[in-house]
Parts: sequence; C-alpha cells; structure tokens
Amino acid sequence: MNALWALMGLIAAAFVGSVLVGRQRQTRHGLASGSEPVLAGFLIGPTMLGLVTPGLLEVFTPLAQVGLGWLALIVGLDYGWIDRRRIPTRRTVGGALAGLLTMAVVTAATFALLRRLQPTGPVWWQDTANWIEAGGIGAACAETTRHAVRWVADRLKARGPVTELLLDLADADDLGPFLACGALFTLQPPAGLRWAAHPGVLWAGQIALGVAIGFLTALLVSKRFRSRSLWGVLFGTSMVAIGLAVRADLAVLTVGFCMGLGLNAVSSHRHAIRAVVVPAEGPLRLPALLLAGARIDVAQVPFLAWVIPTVLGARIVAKGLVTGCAMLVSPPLRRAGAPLVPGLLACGPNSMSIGLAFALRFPGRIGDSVLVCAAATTLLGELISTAGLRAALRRAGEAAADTGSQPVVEVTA
Amino acid sequence: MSSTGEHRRGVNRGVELVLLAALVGLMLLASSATHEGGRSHALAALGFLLLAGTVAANVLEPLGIPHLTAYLLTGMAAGPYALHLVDHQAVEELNPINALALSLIALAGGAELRVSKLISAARSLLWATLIQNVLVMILMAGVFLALSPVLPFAAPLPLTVVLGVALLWGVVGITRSPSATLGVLSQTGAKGPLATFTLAFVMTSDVIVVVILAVVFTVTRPLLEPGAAFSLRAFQELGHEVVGSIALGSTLGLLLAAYLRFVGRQLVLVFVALGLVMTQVLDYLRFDWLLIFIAAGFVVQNLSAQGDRFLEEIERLGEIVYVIFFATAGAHLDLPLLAQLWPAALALTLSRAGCTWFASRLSSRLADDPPALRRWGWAGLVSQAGLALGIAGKIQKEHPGYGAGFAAMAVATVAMNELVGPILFKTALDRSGETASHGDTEEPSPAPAGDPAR
Repeated sequence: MNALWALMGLIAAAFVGSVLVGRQRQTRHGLASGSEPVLAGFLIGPTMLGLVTPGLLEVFTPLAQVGLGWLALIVGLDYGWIDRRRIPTRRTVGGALAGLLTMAVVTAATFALLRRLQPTGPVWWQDTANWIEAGGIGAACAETTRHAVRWVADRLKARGPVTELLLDLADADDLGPFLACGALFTLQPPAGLRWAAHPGVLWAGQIALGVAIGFLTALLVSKRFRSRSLWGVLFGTSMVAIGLAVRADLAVLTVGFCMGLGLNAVSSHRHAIRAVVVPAEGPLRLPALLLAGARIDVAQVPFLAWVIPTVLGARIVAKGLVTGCAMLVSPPLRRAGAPLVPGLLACGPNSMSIGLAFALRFPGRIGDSVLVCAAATTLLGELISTAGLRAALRRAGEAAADTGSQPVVEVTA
Repeated sequence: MSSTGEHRRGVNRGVELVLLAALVGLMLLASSATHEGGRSHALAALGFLLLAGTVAANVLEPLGIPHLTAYLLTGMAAGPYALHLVDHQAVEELNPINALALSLIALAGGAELRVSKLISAARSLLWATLIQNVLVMILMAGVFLALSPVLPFAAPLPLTVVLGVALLWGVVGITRSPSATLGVLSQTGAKGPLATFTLAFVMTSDVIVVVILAVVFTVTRPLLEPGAAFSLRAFQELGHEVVGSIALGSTLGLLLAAYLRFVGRQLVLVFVALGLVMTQVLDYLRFDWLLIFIAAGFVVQNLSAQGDRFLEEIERLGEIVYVIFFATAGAHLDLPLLAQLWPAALALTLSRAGCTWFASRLSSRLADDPPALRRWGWAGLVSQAGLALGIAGKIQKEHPGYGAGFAAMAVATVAMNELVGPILFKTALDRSGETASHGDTEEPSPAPAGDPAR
C-alpha cells in the first residue's frame, strides 16, 4: 500500500468516525469502548496482513502526533464536565485519585516483574528503562473509559446517583495518566532538546507550556470570538503546542491535555469552544486508533506470557481497591456491589492513545510493550466490563430498560 | 463610529500585539532550545504562521494594509531569511498544506464565476482578454529586450535567444494571481463592477495564459535552441492538459454536486482528500489540477443548485486557508535574492504595472466600461503568484543555461507584485466604493453565501 492510499484510508476512517459520532441524534453501533479501529489496524498492520508496512507508519507519524494532541486537547477541554454539568470538586479529586491508584498498582506490579525477569540491571531506583516501561503500562491501564460507561448507561436508559457517579469518576480519572506521560517521557533525556535539564523541570515545563498556550488561546478567542476565527485560532495554537512538543521530544499528550485544561479553566466561551471542538473527536479518534492498531507488534514484546497476565491481574486488583474505597466514601455505590469491579475495567481510546504515544517516543521494546498492554487491557475491558456495568446498574436499581442492541440516544454537544 | 468603540479596538489590538510578541518569544526560545535538522518543525511552523498571520493582519488593519499583505509580511519576517522561526525544511514540509490551500482557492474561484455575471461583463472581458494578454505580453517582451543589456543573465546571450527569452518573459508578465484576488475580495466583501470584472478576468486568464505559453514555447523553440525544428508537440501536450483537465473538472464538479445533494456531511474531509490526495494523483497523471478544481467549482455553481452551500463551506475554511497559503508564500520569498536583484526587478515591475494600466485604459475605452472600471480596472491585475513561478520553473528546467537567472528575476518581480498588488486592489475597491461597509471591521460578519463578489 503506498502513502496516498494509506492517507485516503485514514481520511475514510475519519469520515466513518464523524458519521458514528454525530452531534445531534445518532444510533450507537459497535463496541462499548469504541476500539474497533484498533482491531482493524492490527489486521492490516505488519503483524497480520502486512498491508501497511512499518515504513508507511513512519510517514504518518506527524499525523498521528496531531491526532494524539487533539484528542488530549479535547479530553482536557472536557475535563471536569459532563456535557454542561460541572463535576463536583470532590468527585473530580476522587476520580483523579482512583486513576493514580490504579496507575501506581499496575506500575509497581509490572516493575517488580520486569526486575525479576531481568535481574542483572542497575539498582532499582536507577533502572530508568524499566521505570519508563512499567510507568507507561501503568498510565495506559489506569483509566475507566467514559465511552463504555455512557454506552451502557444509554442502553439501559440508566439514570441515578450511581450512573452519575460512574460517569464523573470515568471522566476525572484521566488526569493522572496524561500528566504521568509527561513525567515518564522526561526520564530519558529528550533527543530534541539542546539543553540538559532535570526531569522535574522538563515535566513542569511541559505542563507550563500547555497551560500557557491554553491561556493564550483563551485570550485570543475572547478578543475575536466568531465561530470562523475560533477554528483558526484553535488550530493555530494547538499546532504550536503539538509542534513544540514534537520538536523537543516531549509528551504531546501532556501538552495537549494541559492546553485543554488551561482553556477550560479561564475561557468564558468554554461551552461554545467545546461545542466546536468535541465533535472533532470522532474523526480524529478513528484514524489515531487505526494507526495504534497497525503498530501493535507482539513479537517485539519480551516475556509477553508473563507481562500480560501480571498487568491484567494488577489492574483487576487496583480496580477492586478503587471500588472498595469508593464504596467507603459513597454509600449509593454499595448498592451496585461487586459487579462494579469488572465494570470499572473498561478502557479504550485514552489507553490506546497513551500506548501509541509511547510507541512513537520509545520505538522498540518499551513502546511495543506499552502499546500491546494497552491493547490487551482494552480487550479484557471489552469482554467483561459491559456485563459488569450492566449488572452494577441493575443492582443499583437505576436501569430503566434493556433496550436491545441499538438504542437511539441523544448526545448534547 | 464611536470613540469608545475606537478605544476598545485600540486596546484589543494592543493586547493582540503583546500576544504576538509572546508567541514570537516562545518560538525564539524553542529555536534556541531545540536542535535544528532533528525532528520536524513543520507543525509548530504551521501553527505559528497561522496565528501570527491572523494577529498581524488585525494589528495592521488600521494602516489600510490588506490581510494578504500582512500574511506575506509575517511569513517573510518569520521565514528562513529573517527571524528563522520557520526554517527551510519546515517551509518545504508545508508544501502539501499549500497544495490543499490552493485547491480550495481554485474551487472557490471556479464557484465564484456565475454565468449570468460573465454574460453581463462579456464585452469588458473580451476586450480586456485580448488587450491585457496580447498587448501586455508584447510590451513586456519589448521592455525586457530594452533592459537585456543590464540583466546579468541576458547580457551575454545572442540577439535571437534574447528575443525568445523576451517573449517568455512577456508570458510571465501576463500571469495574475487568483488567490490574491479571492483573498482581497474575501476580506473586503466587495461587490460591484470592479470586483466582478477582476475576479472573472483573473480566473479566465489563468486558462488563457496556459494556452499562450504553449504557443510561445512552440514559436520560440527554434530561437532558443539553434537547430531545433518547429514542432507542434507542445499543442498535443496542451490538448491533453487543458481539454483533459476541463473534462475531469466537469466530472468532479458533478460528483461534488451529487455528494452535496445526497450526502452533504463532512465536506472538510472531502476537501482534504481532494487537496492532499487528488492533487498528487493528478500531478502524476500530468493534468493541471488547478484548472480541474476551477472547472469543478464552476460546474457546481452553474450546473447544480448546490453552489451557494458549496461556497459557504469553502468560506468556512477561508480564514485558515488564506493565512497559511500567503504566510508560507512569504516564508518562501528569497529575500537575499530580492536584495541582490532589486534594481532590475523594480524596473520590470514598474514597467509591468505601467503596461497593465495602459492596456486597461485602452480596453475600457473600447468596451465602454463604467467609470470605476475605467479608472481602477488595472489595479486588480498587478498581483502575481504561483503561476508565474511555475512558468519560470518550467523555463529553468528546460533551459538550464540562462534559466536560473530568468527564474531568479521572476521570483524577485513576483515578490514585488505579490506585496504591492493586494494593496493596490484593496485601495481600488475602497476608492470605487465597492468595499462592503462593516459595522465593526475587526469582526466582519460573513458575506451572504454565494455572493459572487466576495
């Protein structure tokens, strides 16, 4: 397949994405996590059919970076909001802690395993490569995707405190993984940077860069708020943010996410901006996931038979801990019971985005491991999370009906 | 306009200037902090040119400088010859984005041509086409011939070759810039005889110049290549290119109209597919994709009921497209070359403007044009851009001996015309009273969709 055909394929994927995620009424098809393109990408990628070669994937690296940056921007812009409802601060903090706890448990388990499998290395606190790999896997496996929660809630027409709480937690747990990417990327000195700097400084620099460009965007938008110039300003500022991150080998996801957060925090036009930007998620998500799927190469991951079960097991334990903690502080959740644990295992686009970002930044063992683990976690979530969420919402008494396979839902922009 | 409003706009511009300075500072910091020649700089460059061009246009607006000129100046300032915020590699990597922008401009240009307007201006167009193309070409060839002893690349050539080169220069002299015309009309929202005439003339002259180029290539070949026989091969290629492109463009136009009618969603992705993918395929097949898109836009506008919507969708992208296209063009400008060749380039530029003015007066008199057109008809024909450079590049490729000097001179004169042309055209539209009256020039409301004079 040559680059033009591949580009046409990506444009077609974006078109399909835009059709599937419309702004007004839509019929939801497909998997709960929305990760079908990962499978499609895996099928056409070098591992399976070989229609897309590794060289071709390199050609699309800038496009993949732009897609990742925009997805992170959308997540940041949407952070703390469910449509037009602001998530209470307590829940935002709780969700963020839940994400961090999951990430910490998975990272610790993976790191311990990697150290055990490769005993001859530097002392554990200086084992940068394994920290990056384990941390990346932890970040990729931290989320509970809001797509799956919404998918199940829409199908069951579920309304109530448990549904709302789950949506809030799923939205809020993105903070830790997106910020962690920036920290992990700085552990290996960025090749693009001319100056050496402490990883902490670089991490703070990425956050500051994203937030500053978010503020700049808010200022520019406030001076010339029109839907036409809005696109120009958003496109321009996001390209500057993404471009500078790519140029310096920093984390596009962290910079994009922080830009969204900055814009979200200070712009008085945030709802209008969200209404313009959020519909772009579908057209961006599909090509990005397709590229992520095509990059999956299980042959490159050493100790796969050990790593995958450990990661999945650690994630299940972590989500069990999160469920337990959440039930302690939120009585309504107790009604949902144990099925919440598999329910919280749903993950998808954000995990795969983190996997893809690591694969682009750390080509080889580290990148492939993170991407494969992200895909495995997504697959596990797809297999058991919807049943868990259904059971949990039914037990909580919030499921109005099981409307079959293709309900019509309203998605407010 | 109230003084409060003026004050508010002044403050806003001040704030934007500060933001622009902050952006430049950020890019300078990034330049010094990162390695050159490593990772691609194109993404940051693209974003910077877009933002800086937009802000600069707004800040310079009170001085009467058209947005296009502000975009060009931004590109020149940020480009590899000045601040070096955008390097050579980034400029090259932005070429596909440029192709996308140009394809949208061509589609918009074709869609702005309405048969009814063309018919109403037919007399003016016919006289202008004849005189502006043939007379200006001959006059410019004469000027070149007269200046040839002082042009470094032409001075050592024998007279017969200089004659051939002069005719080729004449062809370069009659190229105009549809993108600049559309850009100024888009900014000013002008409508009236001058706007209608300029747009129609510039768009149609693009096709005519391609035909004239083939004729001149055929005629001058024996002069330029001693021993070469007179050959009609150029006409065969021309037939393939022009007729084939128009046929393909018409088909594409019908397909686009059907898409708008029956699907009608995500046109941005369709435009991206056309601009990024189809341009490459058509280039490979040796079709003129610019002509194809002009024809497609024309068909959508005149042979379907989807023209207004089509234009509206393209206009939605206009703000991004024009900034990227002209800011990148500014970054492309070879400023050291301009500094080296400016005396001769200035002479050729002034001569061209003079010839265009004279031809305009003559054709207006013969066509009995309205006063605005008689007085200002020439002003919109000064801008030059891609086509002139394309022709110069072709000549450089076919005649490597003097071609490099020829192309350099063409780049220098096009740079001057590119900078001055939009200012002249905007001034003409303002003076002739065709510029739309906006309540707030900072925040112009979009002109009604399908307005042919936008």
